[in-house]
Amino acid sequence: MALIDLTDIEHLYSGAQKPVHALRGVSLEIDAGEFVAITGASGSGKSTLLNIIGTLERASAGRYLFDGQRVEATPERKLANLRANKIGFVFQNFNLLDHLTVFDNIALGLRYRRDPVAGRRERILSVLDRVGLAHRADHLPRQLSGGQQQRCAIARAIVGDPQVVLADEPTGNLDSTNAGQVMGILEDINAQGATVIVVTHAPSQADRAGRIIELHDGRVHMTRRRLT
Amino acid sequence: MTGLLYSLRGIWLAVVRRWAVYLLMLSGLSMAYAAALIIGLYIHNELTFDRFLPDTERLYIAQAEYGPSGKPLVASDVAPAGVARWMRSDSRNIEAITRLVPVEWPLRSERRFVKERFYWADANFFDLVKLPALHGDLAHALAKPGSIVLTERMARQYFGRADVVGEVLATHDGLPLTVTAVLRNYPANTHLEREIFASGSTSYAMLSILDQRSTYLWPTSYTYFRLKPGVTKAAVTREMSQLSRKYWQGDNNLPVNFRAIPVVKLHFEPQGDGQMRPRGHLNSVRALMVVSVMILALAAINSAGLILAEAREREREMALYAALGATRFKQIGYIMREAALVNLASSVFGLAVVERVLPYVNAQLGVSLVLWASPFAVLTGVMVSVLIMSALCGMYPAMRITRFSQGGAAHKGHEPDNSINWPGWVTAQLALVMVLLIATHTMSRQWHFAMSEAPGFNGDKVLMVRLINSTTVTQQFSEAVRKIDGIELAAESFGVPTTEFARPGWIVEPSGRVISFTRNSVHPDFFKVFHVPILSGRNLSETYLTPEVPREILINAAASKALGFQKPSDAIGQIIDYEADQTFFSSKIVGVVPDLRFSTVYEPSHPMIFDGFAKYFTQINLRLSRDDPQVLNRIDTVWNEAAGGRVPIERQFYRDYLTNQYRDMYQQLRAFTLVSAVAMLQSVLGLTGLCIFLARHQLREMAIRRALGATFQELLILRLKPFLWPAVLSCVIAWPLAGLALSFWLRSFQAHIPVAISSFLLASALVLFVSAITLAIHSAHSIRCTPMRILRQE
Repeated sequence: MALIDLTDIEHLYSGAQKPVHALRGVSLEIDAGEFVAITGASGSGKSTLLNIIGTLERASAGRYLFDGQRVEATPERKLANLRANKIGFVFQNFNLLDHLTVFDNIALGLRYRRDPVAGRRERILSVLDRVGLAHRADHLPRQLSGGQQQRCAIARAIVGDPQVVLADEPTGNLDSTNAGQVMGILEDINAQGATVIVVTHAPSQADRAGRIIELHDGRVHMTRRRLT
Repeated sequence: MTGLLYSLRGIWLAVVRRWAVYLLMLSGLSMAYAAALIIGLYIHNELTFDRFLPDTERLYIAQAEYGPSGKPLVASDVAPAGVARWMRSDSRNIEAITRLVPVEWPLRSERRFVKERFYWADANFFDLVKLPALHGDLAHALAKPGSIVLTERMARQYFGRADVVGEVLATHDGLPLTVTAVLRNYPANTHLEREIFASGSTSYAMLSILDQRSTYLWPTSYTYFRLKPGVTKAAVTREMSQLSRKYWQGDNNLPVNFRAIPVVKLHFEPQGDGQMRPRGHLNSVRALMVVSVMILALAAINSAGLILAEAREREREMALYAALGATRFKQIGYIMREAALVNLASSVFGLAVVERVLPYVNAQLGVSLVLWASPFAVLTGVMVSVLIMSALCGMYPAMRITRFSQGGAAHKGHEPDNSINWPGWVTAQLALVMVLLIATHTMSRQWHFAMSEAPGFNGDKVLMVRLINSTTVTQQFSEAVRKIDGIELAAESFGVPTTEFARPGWIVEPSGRVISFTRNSVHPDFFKVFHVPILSGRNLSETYLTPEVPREILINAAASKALGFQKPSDAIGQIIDYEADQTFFSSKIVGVVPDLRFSTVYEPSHPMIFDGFAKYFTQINLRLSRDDPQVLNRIDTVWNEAAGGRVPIERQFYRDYLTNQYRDMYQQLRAFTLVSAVAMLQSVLGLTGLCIFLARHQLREMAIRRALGATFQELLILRLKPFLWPAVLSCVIAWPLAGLALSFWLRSFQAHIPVAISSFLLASALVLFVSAITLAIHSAHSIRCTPMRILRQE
């Protein structure tokens, strides 16, 4: 059974003037351990699809099964629990909290998992080491470079060992060197068993995924797998 | 001009773009302006009592004090009528002296027939108290017996027009009173609560009767006098005491002392439970003044917070202006102009609100506030407030917002810190509202105490009917009224339970110690009518008419204690010698009753003795067995039959009398309820503004946390948690402050409730509950916003 199973997903934004039909009958399955890239032009519905997969938004219509659980019928409190335990997010603009140190920002990724407090520090230090920021643990986000901030955001996303990591244009604000490093870390995460779904404009980065889903005008235009 | 229009257009566009924030600012500021205006009008009304009267620098009212020498026991705004006579003939210190005696007699014209409240006045009254004339010559208006002067308002009520000089009003027994002058309507904030003055030289006028009966020296007259230049008021009051001792012939108490109170200060320094307007309280006026300033200050701070909530957007705007060459001074000016315009608009709304609600406020407070009595003063006050408020609202945000704009947009590492000290002002707001609510609750408790517990007897359903100076009428009415179905019991009394004729008495022990008390004459059924139990011994057995005869008396528990008896039963059968009403008595104590209070809680309550001396009974107290208008109709019929229809009945329920006695306290209670409600609303608006501010600043954080798996409840707690300390701190500040202020306030009463912890708990619980609800609603709303959209907007 697929980890993520979307069937005829529709999504409408009720704007101030005219409703926007962001998704029009999207159906797709993503298996555990896959590395998927979602591409498409601006306004094609990529981020909306990612939000729905990440349970941050509910689809207007259609059926969504996450690990066999019907998301549309799940109450908000259980969805929050699902996000805390099974999903990690990485954003284009990092979304770190300015007043917290790197360490505390990463700790935030564990805070809502309701895990025992014991062992948290070790996990955070281990993940900091993994993304190469061990020496920056006490720094504030504004004292880091863009690449470092994004690595910190990735550390926060993976500190709880989520089943799925969702990354929305993770390299959009980075230069090519840092972008390469970030994509490398995501590949590494995938290699260790996590499902990674990346929204990206850049074909070179999409090509690093195992499967590319191209959206056009709210529909799945094309799906292709990387030849190995 | 073009520049100004351009600037106004810019401000208008800003208002349209941020309409919700401006709506909030306008609501808060308008409410604050309206509240401050109403409080201002009320304070002005209080502080200008009688100030409309010209030439009052040397005009005083004589207050008389009674009791053993050197220890006055009872004080009153009214003095015996003889004092003015003696001063007029013997004094070297006064220019003139005059009197008023209040009366309630029927007055009839073709249009109106009522039992009217008016004054008998000496002929020279208008020489001293210079009320403005509309028609006629006030110098001689009261010279002739049978003349009467009334205000334009009363003239219109009785005759339908103002120029009524020469018209005739009929009074008791159809006797004529000819109008000799009409006064201009005078303001309501004067101690002169009646608007008709009849000549005291009229043969049947109380003043004339008092002047003919040199032994009748009960306190009856408001005595006004004007000092000669250079004379001290102490010299005059000393002279009054000396002349009283010289000429005294009455069978009641001699005033041991006099005090002179400037007419314009009578409102704040009355003595006794008099019939003048409700007394004023200077400390309450001061407290209201502080509160109104604080409400304005809070509204200004709230508005400043709302402007700062828009700071990030404003910084970009200001950076753009700076890039186009605007100096920082000009940028500050732009924000200040905006603040001034919002304040100006709010003050206009505030004025409109006051215009609208003033009749309701007047009805609630029992005052006659007028908004446009002095338009120039009101508008000047409003404009000055607008200027100060604009500076308070705009200056701080303007300085903060423009701080970085000169270097272009904020650059990395030097992001402007637009955080505000919101915990500080939340604490201040909550503390203020708490103090006001604690004060209001305590005032309410004190008012209820005064109305129900303080008297120590049950006056509900007791109707007091004033008896007239006619034995036939009194006897016929007293007998007939007792037979009416619906009258449970009746008992005559001299003054009590009102304080119209409080009489001190005292015992001088061989050691020189003086035991003071008040003497009360009542029918034996008086205690049954007012549900007063006999603690020990028995009730009085009869009434009597000869004061010299030793008679049985009752005393109250306080008197029993003052006389040195261990317990009430020890007093039974004891004979005491005492002095009262210029007479020495020797009476046997036959019973002891609990402590009763006939005076208001402002006045001291003394040990009491009760006797059955019936000569001066002034009223009959009727306990009604049911609330039935038919019973009242039957009482009126019986009265009309006894009085032959010549004198309308004068009756009131004890409860109404008490309500009237405490209308000043009720007025204060209403005023504080009003400002508490405004402060509470102001606080709700302030917290709403703060929520908007925090929502703007924390929305991204909330979204991040939500994406990381925080539940709605966790986010709500996270938003509300920072308010915990300000809430606790506000209690820490408000409780001792309120405790101190209320202890001070309660000390102005002779009998009062203790400061109760329940007031503090209730007020705090209410403030915290309303605050928590306000914060929770707005926080919940902001948390429910779609997070991902916000995360992508950065």
